[in-house]
Amino acid sequence: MEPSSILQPISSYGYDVVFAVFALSGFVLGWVAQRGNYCFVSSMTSIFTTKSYERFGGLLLLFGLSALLPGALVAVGVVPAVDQYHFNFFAGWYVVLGAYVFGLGAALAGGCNLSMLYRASSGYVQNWLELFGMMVGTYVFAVLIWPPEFYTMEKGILSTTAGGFVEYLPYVLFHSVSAAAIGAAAVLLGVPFVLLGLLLQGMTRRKWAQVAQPVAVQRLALQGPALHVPGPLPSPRFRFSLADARDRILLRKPYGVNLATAILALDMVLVFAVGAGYTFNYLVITSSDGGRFFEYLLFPFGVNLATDTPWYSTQLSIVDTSTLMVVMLCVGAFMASFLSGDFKIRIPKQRRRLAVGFFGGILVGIGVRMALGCNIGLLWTSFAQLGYDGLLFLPAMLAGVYTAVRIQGRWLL
Amino acid sequence: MPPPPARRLLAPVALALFAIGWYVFSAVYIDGANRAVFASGDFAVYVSMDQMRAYLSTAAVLCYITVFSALLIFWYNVVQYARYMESSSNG
Repeated sequence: MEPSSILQPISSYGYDVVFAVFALSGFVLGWVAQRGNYCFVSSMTSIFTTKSYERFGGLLLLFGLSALLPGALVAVGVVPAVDQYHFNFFAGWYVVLGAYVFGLGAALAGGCNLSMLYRASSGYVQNWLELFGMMVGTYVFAVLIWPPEFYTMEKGILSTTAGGFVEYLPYVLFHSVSAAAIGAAAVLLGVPFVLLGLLLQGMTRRKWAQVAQPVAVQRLALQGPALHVPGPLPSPRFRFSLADARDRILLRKPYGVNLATAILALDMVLVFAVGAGYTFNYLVITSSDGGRFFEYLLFPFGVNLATDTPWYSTQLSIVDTSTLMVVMLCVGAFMASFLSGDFKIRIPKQRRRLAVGFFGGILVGIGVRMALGCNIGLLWTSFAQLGYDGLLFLPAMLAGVYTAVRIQGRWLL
Repeated sequence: MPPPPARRLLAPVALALFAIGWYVFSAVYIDGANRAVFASGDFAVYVSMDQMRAYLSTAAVLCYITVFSALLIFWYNVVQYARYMESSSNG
């Protein structure tokens, strides 16, 4: 017997609560991402430029926690399994190619779909142009790429012909959606990512300590005779202290990578549980709403893409819980940057960065729509869904980011 | 001491206007577009009345909260600005 495909809300609170909680989670996402300077693309570029794995390790921790926590909620029966796999998308060539184009465009433009929004809200003009470029790219995708892509999805050409439980790892691995199968799949997917994330962060911290130690000794020697031999430098690992907590609450200090990671993982769990049975119960940022906002921009001119344009007329509902999530993400990021004193309209000195931002944004729009989601709505979400799209998306995005780093090094710097 | 930058006063006002503008846009254009797709029989992208009502009522509440917060920040900065003007005229 096939697993159920009927969504089951875990409570009957209605759409008012769902919209409100999604808006709140968007606000939290914007606030925390801004305070933690959380960017998927820069965490990947730092691998290729400074050989630092601190932020990329945090990203892997996020993926691992996002597999383990929602997986645990489903395994213990708090959330029905159908609410975890119902929105698993199709998988195919388009995920790999789209992720590559997205990684390339986002690294050129200077921000992933999350950082683009919080930086745009913090006054970065380059990211305004990236956002507009993404809207244009979404339209280009809808008209030119979606019809042939949909054809391959229908015919199963290098593509699955269904999503849902077909792509649910417990079903793929154990042909079951029982609690034991879900728990085992969550552990199999989540634990390696957590361990690898911690390992990579540890490697980078040890490297920093080795580099920083001689510098500190040298500084002491320049300042005068040392009273004592300095011990090992404190590692940047998160340590709780009341003074630190106070400084972070009062916006005097940014959030560390792992603190931001932990809050974002909990934010995902909140949306996963509250949205279950009602809507796409994951964090979803701009990949759909980039297209939606372009559609909105045209409404005052009497143009409604939803009535006659491919993709817009079949795939994009007029409004969604993610709409308020994205709007409140921008409000949260703005509030965080303004109250901390970071907010400032920033126009890059090199004007060509604006053109690169717009062009990169077009690639982002094409890439995320081709892949059926962005780094949030597909990559990160796929781990919380216990799907495998993220495992296709991640290496392809890394390859795109690497290509952009090479292009920037050769022609743009 | 340099004067507080003008953005400390302008940004909260811009935020409040954005919140009001978003709600008005939602009530006028998004709801209108939803009715248009219903009239054209395109139920793939149509949002049910129940969801649209929830969206608009949540957007209204968020608009109130955002405008209230923005005005709070605005008046705080006005007081800071007045203090600066007072101290600079005394000094």
